[in-house]
Amino acid sequence: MIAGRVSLLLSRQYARSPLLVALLLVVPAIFLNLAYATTKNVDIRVWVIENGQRLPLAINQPNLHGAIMVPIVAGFLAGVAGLFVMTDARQSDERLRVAGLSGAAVATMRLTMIGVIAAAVALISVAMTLVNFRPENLVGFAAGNLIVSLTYGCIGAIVSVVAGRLGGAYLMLVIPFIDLGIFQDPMFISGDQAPWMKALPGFGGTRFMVDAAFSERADDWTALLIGLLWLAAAAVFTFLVLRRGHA
Amino acid sequence: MTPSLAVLASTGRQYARQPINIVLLLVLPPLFVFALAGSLSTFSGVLGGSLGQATGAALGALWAAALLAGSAAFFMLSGTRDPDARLRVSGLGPLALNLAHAAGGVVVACVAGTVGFVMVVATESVASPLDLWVAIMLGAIAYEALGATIAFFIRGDLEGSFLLILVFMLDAFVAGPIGGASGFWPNLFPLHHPSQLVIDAVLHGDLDRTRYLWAAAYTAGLVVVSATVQARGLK
Repeated sequence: MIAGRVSLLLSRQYARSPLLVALLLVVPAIFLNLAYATTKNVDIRVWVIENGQRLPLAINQPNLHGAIMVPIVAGFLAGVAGLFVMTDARQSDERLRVAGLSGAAVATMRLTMIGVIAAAVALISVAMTLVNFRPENLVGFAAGNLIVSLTYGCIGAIVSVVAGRLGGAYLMLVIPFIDLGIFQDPMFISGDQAPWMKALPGFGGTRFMVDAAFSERADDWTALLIGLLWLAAAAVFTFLVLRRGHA
Repeated sequence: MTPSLAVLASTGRQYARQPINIVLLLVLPPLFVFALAGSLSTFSGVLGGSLGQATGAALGALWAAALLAGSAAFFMLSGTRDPDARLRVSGLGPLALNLAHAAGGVVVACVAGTVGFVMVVATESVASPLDLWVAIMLGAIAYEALGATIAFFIRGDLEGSFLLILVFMLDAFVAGPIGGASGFWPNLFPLHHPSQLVIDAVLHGDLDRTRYLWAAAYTAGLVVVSATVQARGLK
């Protein structure tokens, strides 16, 4: 309970930065709409699950771009947010510990903050892409993006502890680009991905999102399960790392 | 030792005290090269284009150098505001400080760019290696200047990173060779011409001199803007 109240209190510092709020809205809006508007009008083959079978669909590239750029934007922004929420938090968290908050409460509070920011980034990005592109299953589409965003928010927090400010920034600018922007993008990887690409954090959420975007039912349950497992593992690991840091 | 060299040496020592920064600077460019080598040729094939594995690898080296140089410049400058202010109070001139920061950024850009370049030359056939290296360095230094300029105007790490990400994503996915942007506006992005130069250097080595001039002028312009705002900030 107290973790929730403190995280709400500390979240206000981000809401008080008009530039940050503006960038949270402007970055997805500009990028998603420009990506859609400038993409060549050709069909690209995308694999989806229909009635339990994996089938290829010919998807118009601007629509595919409109869909696939959402987890890329959300993963980038949530990862960087997770990183800097934690690097900014070190001093204040130490004071909260001195003031009597337990390590578990501080870790829960930071995890809640990262979750709220990552969810906001994902939902704003989904809303911005709806200007040009309508997914077949909006709830599944949003869920897939939410999974990717939350997972990368947690990865950003873990990276902040492991690599620090500059090293963390290097990693959180490169990992989402390579994972989401290249290896999970059907425009770059045609057909089935190599097994090691499926082991990356963005695989499950992105594939479930693609299925929801272009097939009538969002029913790629294997992808959803993999995405949720990645998210759960990232959240638990983040909690343990943060609690240990505040022990 | 001149004051600029002293500041540069301390910046280097501070950077080296976190070995992970150096490791990442050496590991991430090859990772980019590897990731883009195969996948970009697939993408180009889908669109009926001619980008092959070698051009994908070279673009990976350019993008890695730009991203790492830009983020290093932003975070190194935004992290040294307080020490810089103290150095100014103790009598160090703004020119010496500016030179030291610029030299630090150039070192990072050179290392990131050269590591990626070596990886490309070692694994792919490149028509003009010298032009490839120059094009990668133009892109990396343009982003270094961009990162330094963002650091002057924007205080927060989160806000600055978001802006850098926005410019880079537009540069890579929309205004670059894999995007379908046409007209004049893609020229306004730092990597638009270096990307084309990189492709030409790999494929045939016959580079368009006007494009070279534009890329060099754009990078020089960004360096001048960055130096001007830094000098004003340190007054």
